[in-house]
Order: sequence, then structure tokens, then C-alpha cells
Amino acid sequence: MHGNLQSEISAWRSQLRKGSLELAVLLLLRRRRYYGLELVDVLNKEIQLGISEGSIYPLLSRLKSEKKVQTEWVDDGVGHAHKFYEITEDGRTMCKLMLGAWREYSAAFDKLTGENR
Amino acid sequence: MSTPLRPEAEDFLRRLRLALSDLSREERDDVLAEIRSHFEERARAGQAPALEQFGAPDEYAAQFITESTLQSALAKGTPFALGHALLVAARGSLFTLLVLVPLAALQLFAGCLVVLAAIKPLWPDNVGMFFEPGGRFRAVGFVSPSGTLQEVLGWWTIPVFIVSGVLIFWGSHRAMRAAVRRRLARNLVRRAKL
Repeated sequence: MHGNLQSEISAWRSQLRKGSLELAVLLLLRRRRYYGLELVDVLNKEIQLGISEGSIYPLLSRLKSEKKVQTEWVDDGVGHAHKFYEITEDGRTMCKLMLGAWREYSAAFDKLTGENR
Repeated sequence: MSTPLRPEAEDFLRRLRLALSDLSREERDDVLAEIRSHFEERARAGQAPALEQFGAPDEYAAQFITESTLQSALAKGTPFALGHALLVAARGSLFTLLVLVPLAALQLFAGCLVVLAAIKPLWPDNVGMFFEPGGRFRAVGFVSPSGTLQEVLGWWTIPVFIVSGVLIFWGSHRAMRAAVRRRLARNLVRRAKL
């Protein structure tokens, strides 16, 4: 029984991640430019989002084709080059809109949990 | 100077390259260089590449291909690009094939109508809309020899064929764009196993 609930909650977490990964990435890129592996490490270590390593690249590739980010290969002298992602104006606008929606959603849930307490 | 990778990582990259063959060479090289750089950095830190977090090369590649092809097809907007993108996305989807084949046929038909309008002055008796002497409809297009068949449109054939060709083309082109958009929207929903 307990095991079932555990697997249900992990499936639910995975759904939440799917919905929020794009926002998390855009929020990070708003601070500075990152390369893919850096993003994975920050997302997993600092905010424990628990994404799989491979999932970042198709997302970044889509953000690039939607012109929300732009890229630059930089050889920073560590022996191999990194592809850095930088947020564009479109990306900033999208990030702001998503954040607004996120806050509304979260406020609605706060209300709900407050009422049910 | 690059860091040597484990054979399984090299194997993954080789299979990924094959699976990405639908992307342009530039895009493919870019994706591969980025993932190689990812593995190299892990190797440099003494970590094994987390291949299981990338999944099977084919499935992983599909996440790049469908989105990239569908997006660039919409940007290009040519019938060929749209058709090709739907074909790529249609792997395993009967629905898209059921949409794609009739729409492609309609576009071909529309193209033929315009060509027929253009050659009407060369073969005025063989191009047009034909009825049998009894009044039964027989054909639209090129008939040779026309024999007892009666061509009913005369010189109207030219504007009628051009206008209907353009309308059919426009309609099916819009439908194809809609199919690509729909496919893209479905991809957004199903995206990325995280």
C-alpha cells in the first residue's frame, strides 16, 4: 500500500517537472548564461528538481528554435568547448508571462489549502 | 584536446548520429558536439556518462527531430517541407498518413489543373471538361483523342482551371499547415520523458 503511494507520488512529481522545467531554465538564464550540463547540475543539486541529464538538450533545442534563447560555443580553456545559452528578449517576456501564471496558480492553491486547514 | 570517452559513450554518440539523419548536417553536428562535451566533462570529473538518463538513441533523437523538423517546416511553409515534416512525424502514426496522403494528392491535382490551363492553347480540343454525347460526365483534364466526347468549357477552361487549381492548392496547403501545427501541439503535451 505504502509502496503504491510512493510510486504514485513519484509519477505525479514527474508530471510537475514536465510542466515546470521550461520556467526553471528560463529563470536561471535570466541571471546569467549557462551551458547544458551546468543547468542540469544547478537544477538537480541546488533546487533538487530531479531531472534526467538527457532531458535538458531537447528542451534547449526547442527554446532556441523558438528564439527564446541564443547560443554561443565558447572554449574556456578547460580542454573542450561549451555551448552557452543566453536568454533573448522573447525569452524574458515568456519567462515573465510564465512566472505570472505560476504565481496565480500557486496563490490559488494557497487559498485552497488555507480554506481546508 | 578532447577527453577520451568510454566505448559505450562513443557507441551512443555513433547511434545518435545515425538516428539524427533527418536533421540538417549543421544541426546534427551541433547536437552531437554538445552531448559529447557533456560526456567529456563527466569523464574529466571521473564520472561515467549517465547513458541511462538519455534513453535509447533512437527515442532520444526523436525528441529533436520531430520538433525541429515541424518548426522549420512551418517557417519554410513549402508543400515539400510540410509534407516531409509530417512524414517524419508520422512514423507509427496512421492518422497523419491518412491526412498526409489525400492532401498531397489534392495538391498534385491542383498543380495539374494549372498546367492543363497553360497547355490549353496548344491542344484546345484535348484539354477541358468532357461529356459523352448522351450528357454523361466523362473527364476533367487531357483527353486524346477526344473522339465523340464534347468539351464544354471552351476557353473558359483556362480561368476555371487556374482558379480552381489555386483554390484547391490553397485549401489543402492550409490543411497541411494545420496538421503540422496540431502535431507540434501534441508534441508539446507529450514532450520529454523527464
